[in-house]
Amino acid sequence: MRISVKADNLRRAVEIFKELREKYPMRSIEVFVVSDNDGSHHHN
Amino acid sequence: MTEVIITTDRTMMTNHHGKEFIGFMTTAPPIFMPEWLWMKISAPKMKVNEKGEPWQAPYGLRKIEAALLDAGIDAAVIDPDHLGKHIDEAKVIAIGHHDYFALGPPSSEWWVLTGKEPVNSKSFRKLMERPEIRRAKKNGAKIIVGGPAAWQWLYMPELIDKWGVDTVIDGEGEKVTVEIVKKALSGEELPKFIQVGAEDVPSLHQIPLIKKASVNGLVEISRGCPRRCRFCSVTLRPLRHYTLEMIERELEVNKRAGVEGCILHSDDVLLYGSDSVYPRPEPIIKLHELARKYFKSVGWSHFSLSAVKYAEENYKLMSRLSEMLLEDDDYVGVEVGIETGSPDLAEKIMPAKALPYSAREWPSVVIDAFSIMHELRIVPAATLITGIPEEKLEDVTKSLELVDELKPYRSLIVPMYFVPMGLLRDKNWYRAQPTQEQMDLMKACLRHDLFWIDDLARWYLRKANPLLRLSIRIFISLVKRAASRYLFI
Repeated sequence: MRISVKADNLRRAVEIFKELREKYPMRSIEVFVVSDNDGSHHHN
Repeated sequence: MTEVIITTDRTMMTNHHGKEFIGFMTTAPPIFMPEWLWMKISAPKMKVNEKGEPWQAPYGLRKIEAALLDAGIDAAVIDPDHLGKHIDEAKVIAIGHHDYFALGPPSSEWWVLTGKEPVNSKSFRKLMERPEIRRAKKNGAKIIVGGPAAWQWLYMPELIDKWGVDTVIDGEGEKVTVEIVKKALSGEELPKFIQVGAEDVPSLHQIPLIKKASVNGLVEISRGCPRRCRFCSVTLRPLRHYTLEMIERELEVNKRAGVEGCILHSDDVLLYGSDSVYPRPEPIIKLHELARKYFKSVGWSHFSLSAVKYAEENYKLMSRLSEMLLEDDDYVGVEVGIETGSPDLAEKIMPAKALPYSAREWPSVVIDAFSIMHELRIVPAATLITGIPEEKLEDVTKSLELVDELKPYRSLIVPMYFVPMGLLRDKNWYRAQPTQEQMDLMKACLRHDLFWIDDLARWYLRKANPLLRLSIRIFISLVKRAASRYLFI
């Protein structure tokens, strides 16, 4: 199942995406930028 | 009207005058000539139809086009000079590239050595700042980027913002791109970044077949590689071999379009039909018989050197391929990876690259394979890595020794200087300084290449148009003159 994460700005999204790629090189990962959310991570 | 435009900049949307190797010039800044002439030589415009579709397009873009068309989406690859014909209707612009910002080798290396930005990243910037792209963005079109250089966007977040990139897709994109484009067309929220993991990689029969011609007739025969070298992302993908029927359908597409030759593409053509590191003669011979049925000129993308040695010593397979493909005075080129001349470093970063031989034997595997290819008039264009974090001074010395031992064999050796990823966060990353030993290694490669260049240019350019032949000959003589001072030769 794809790892799905939300970030509250672009720079944070880049950081989260890099961290997740390093940790899960074989998994599907998606990172959304949601300006009006609280910036917390939501893993499906 | 085309809802989804697939495009890229001129350094990619070109067939390099039918000479794939000239494409390397697009990874460098112009040397000894103005930029317009450098671009004319390395990245000429291609003929297009009335819609602005180029007659050949990069294979990766053709795969995405095929995936979208198979999903019933109105998509087409459009030449960057003809975007205006579609831009007011376009809802999605999908862009691919193999080196968006010249951060990958060899572009990064030329940038470090010359201090000048290579033409590929300049050309890409011009594409993104074209009025047509800006207008499409203003109209609400979504911009999706991908391809082998997708990772580079992670180091350029300010450009994601500036150019309004909506989604970056990193990995084999055929399935995920269809999903994201459908979301874009229906106005759903798009992720900013996607990594395509094992669950989203297309299986063999989910890989779409190209519907229009690819640059220089390139067709994929396998995807993935079992060798698991640490510096290479291809090994993260499962190994899949196309069936001969799938390959034939793509050969037919190129033949129908009038392309004059084909390039069989895989990370190791000699492992076609094998589920291990041992080449199997039967599928490889059948593959080449099939390709020859359609084209007189058949080329290869990549071989592994251990497979060359094993295939010749056990089956005389290289001799058979050479007989099948080459006429009397001809050569055929192929890309190979030496990467290092150090058994210690080979054990650390590419322990399976020498298989079925041991990593300790790597330098002799390289020499044996070069010797076999020299005799059979197969010309390797080899990469040699320097600058990776595990490399020690002794490793560079071993690589230098190996380059010296390869002098008798007709070949090109291209050093790949790796800029550490950590440095890429700094906008002045290209001021990274190679060590003296690394510079010595790069000079040794240049010395080797200049030793063979006249012989190779005579063959490679014999059917090129006279103006191109003259331009490249002048360029080579200027490089030789400059190098004679620099290299003391």
